Amino acid sequence: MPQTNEIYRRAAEWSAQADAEGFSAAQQAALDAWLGEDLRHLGAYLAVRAALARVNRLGGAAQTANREPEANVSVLAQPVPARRRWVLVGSIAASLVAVVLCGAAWWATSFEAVYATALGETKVIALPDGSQLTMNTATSASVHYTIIARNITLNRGEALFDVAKHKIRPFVVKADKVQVRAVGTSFELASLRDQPLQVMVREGVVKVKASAHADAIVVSAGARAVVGADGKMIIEPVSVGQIAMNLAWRDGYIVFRRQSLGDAAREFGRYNKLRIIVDDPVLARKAVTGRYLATDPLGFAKAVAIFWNLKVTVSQDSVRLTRNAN
Amino acid sequence: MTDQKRVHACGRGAAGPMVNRIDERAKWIEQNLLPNESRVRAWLSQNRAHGLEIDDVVQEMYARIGSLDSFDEIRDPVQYALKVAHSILFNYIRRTRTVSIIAAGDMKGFEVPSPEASPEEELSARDEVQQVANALAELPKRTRDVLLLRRVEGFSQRETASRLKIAEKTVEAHMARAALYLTLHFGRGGKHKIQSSERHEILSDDSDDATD
Repeated sequence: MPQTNEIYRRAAEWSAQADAEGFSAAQQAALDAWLGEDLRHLGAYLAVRAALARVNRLGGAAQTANREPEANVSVLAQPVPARRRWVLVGSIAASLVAVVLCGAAWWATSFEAVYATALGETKVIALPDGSQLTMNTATSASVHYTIIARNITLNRGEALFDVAKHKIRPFVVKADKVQVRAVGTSFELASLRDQPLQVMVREGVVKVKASAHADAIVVSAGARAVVGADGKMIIEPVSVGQIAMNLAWRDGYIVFRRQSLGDAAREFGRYNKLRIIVDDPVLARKAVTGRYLATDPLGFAKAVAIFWNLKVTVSQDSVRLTRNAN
Repeated sequence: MTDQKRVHACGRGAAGPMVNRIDERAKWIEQNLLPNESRVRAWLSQNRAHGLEIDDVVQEMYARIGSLDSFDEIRDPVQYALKVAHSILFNYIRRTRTVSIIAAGDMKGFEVPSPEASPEEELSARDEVQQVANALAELPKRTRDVLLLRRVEGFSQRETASRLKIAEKTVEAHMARAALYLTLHFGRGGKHKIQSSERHEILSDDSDDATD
């Protein structure tokens, strides 16, 4: 059987030494020399440091998971506010049975609530019909259910709707002028400031109307509808990978695939008070790739700075990226 | 042993800029390359050249990606990692004129694999935590305690030694083998990928309760 790779073993020993107090300049020089000797040394050392970085990032949560194997995930399922309303049934002419039945059905299905998330927060809300509403940062949604309809208004932000099937109660989400109608499906709707409205369908089919009087366009799984400010709708395909990437926010991440640094900085702005500022237009156009914690703009800025040898200037409410003078 | 307290978490001693730079890069690699290493290894195990170990290719791949000075070429980390691994293997074959590729047969099986064929399977946050939890559970208790004190609680090596009443050098030895084990564990994609003989080799030695 192959023995454990000697280079990994050496790299792990160097890593432990480098983390100890009193790691001298001479030792540092010896480490640098070892790293420079062979690409595999540098690679193994990077892998070891990455593995330890993983413990830094997730070790605390993992410890909790080991302690309570059942309760290792905290789904922020909020208790549903019970604001069901009795509606006066005015017609005495209706048969008593019908009144009782309708009344009971109405009581069981009528529901109203408003949900909101703060900056950097995500929430999963279980709706009374079995549908699920997953809200991203700075999002607000109003839910209005009746016996014949399930209406939701996305006031602002971004949310994923996992819709429970119901034959006669359509599930309709409105954002601005756009209407999305679903039966049983999963789709995401993003209504962000200064950006076209987006509907991304993960499963099933939805019908999108760009405005109240526009025709309903069918958008199915693996596609996205983008509605501009002018009301024009474009349908484009999205891959499974892209969908997963666009929904990384549910796990607290932002994923970039060659987005411009300017766009990336703006994206972080959706989640954080701390602004990433890139004044240099050349810098702002450079492409960024990778997966980052949505609530750690400073960590992102530092990672980018390391890649491009940039200067990071941190102030109370911003982190500025500039090119080094040299 | 001394009681001297250090405010510094993970005391890095006189670590120079090179090491700091590596640690910043390691953070990016942790999120973007480490979770995909097992896919590169899977591809490499199907496409082998005589005399070149999978570990050789993977290490070189880390070095190449870790020393990039721009993201410009990276569209998708998995795709990019596979591309780099492919080029390392291909250059090796060209250089050494090795023909024995243990692949599905001919060069057709030797195309750059495309992750588009299989949808991106990024671990969910919950799976990630579970993976780390599994790895921690596989460590001997003392090694795990040392690792958690150092990396999660942020104690220095000296503080860790005095808390556990063991020698500083012993803390260092525990950290070295924890690091080695976790590197292999995460790199191969989690549980059951490390054979018990290898696990034994890494994790059992006699320094366990040595106090110097």
